[in-house]
Amino acid sequence: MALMTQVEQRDLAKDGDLYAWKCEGCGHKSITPMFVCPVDKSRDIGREKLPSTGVVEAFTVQRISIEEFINDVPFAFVVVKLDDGTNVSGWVPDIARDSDLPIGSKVRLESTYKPGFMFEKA
Amino acid sequence: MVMRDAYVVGVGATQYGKLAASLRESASQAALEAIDSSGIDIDRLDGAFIANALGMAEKQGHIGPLVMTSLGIADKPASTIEAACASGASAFREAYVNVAGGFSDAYLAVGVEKVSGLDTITATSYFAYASDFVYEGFCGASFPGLYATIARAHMAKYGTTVEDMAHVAVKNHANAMYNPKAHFHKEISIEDVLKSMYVASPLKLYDACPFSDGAAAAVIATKEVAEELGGPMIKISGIGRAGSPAALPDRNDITSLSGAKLAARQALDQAGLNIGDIDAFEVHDCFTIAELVAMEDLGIAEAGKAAAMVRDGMTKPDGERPVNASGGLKAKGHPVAATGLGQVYEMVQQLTGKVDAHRKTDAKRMMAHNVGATGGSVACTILEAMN
Repeated sequence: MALMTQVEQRDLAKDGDLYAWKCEGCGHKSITPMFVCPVDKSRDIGREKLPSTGVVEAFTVQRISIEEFINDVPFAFVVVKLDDGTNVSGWVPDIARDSDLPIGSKVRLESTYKPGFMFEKA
Repeated sequence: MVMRDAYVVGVGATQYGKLAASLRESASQAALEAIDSSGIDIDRLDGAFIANALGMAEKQGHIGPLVMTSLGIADKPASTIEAACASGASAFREAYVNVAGGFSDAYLAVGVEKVSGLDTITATSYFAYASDFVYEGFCGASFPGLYATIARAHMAKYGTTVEDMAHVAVKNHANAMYNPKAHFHKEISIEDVLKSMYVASPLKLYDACPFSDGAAAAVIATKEVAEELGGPMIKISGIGRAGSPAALPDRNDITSLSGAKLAARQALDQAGLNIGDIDAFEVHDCFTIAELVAMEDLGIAEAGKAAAMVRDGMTKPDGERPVNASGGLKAKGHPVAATGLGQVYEMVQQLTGKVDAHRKTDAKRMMAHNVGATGGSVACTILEAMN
């Protein structure tokens, strides 16, 4: 199978399916494009569907945002550890206070028209 | 393989802040100050590396030839170096490589930025473009947001508090009071920091460095040229350059910048020194949390222990381990691509004793730590006063 493109990954995510690049040699997975595995340097790279749920590893509540999100503040930018252990970045809408989304909160990927990965509290 | 020693023979810097000068004017002013302070004939420079990250803010790319034209040496080559906020130290390193590698006897490095014409949302967006934008910016992260996420992880792992981070801001504002080129000359209190508005929780306005305009420059030359010029002998003893995965989710641990550890190790190994041999530090405190992480990555403090050193006053200019006696990015200011060369400027001022007594460190060996984005690019530089 041809190497997954970022456009394919984005289109799949819009439908609620999150895919990572996966090293067929050692199993290392990356949410960002991987042509060479950083662990074993293999170029045998496939793809794998990731679980859609995980827990918040770290987050911030954005009060001042970049242009693409000016109508969404406040919201949370999150680093999520998915149930298979893969880390992924994303955002959670309508989070105004830190206490709304403590570290360890369970979240689920939702489909969205926006290009980034959007999660909601599970 | 280092072929020969290289020295910083001259440095220059503009005021940091909101400047009326254009990119080329600021760059040329800093370059001329560096050239004049070295005493070198301008025609002896073989070329320049010009650090500039956000030239498009002034609708100007390819800034190198403009600066060389203004300096009257349009026939000399100048290439732009871009490594986000680490552009300055990266340009410095490339100029060093030219001299140490035997290609040139004297080379110029300049860093320049001008962003004050941008509104806050546009500036915030431009800065975010230095992240892995598809996986961070498109997920809503601003640049402060990424460091806020690092801060949150550091707080969870080590118990770091918002007060700990505020101590960094207070110290650096106090130091900048005595730095005439600093963006801010305003003392602040812990309470001021904690009461300031949130930018991206847990970081508040006073946890963040400002958007600054400014330029800084250095002339690098061989030992023979340095001796001939007769100025202070400031040796480039070590220079490391490394990287980290660009996006936070690609990292095993977001409470540390792996590239900073590598770059520091390279610089120390080249210099034949240990971190304990370094007298004072200029680190990349774009946010207060970044100074704590830097101290831990460089080995000034054990992981999770930097905050206690700051609280105890150990990192003040008269403390055991001075950090950011210049005021740091936090208060001296952060003209993105100029910052790494501004750190070189500050190190030379400290090593030659040309600073106000309130922030004098008496250092003879210093290290600078310059970070691009959240650590995708890192450079560490060790300068040593040899006379």
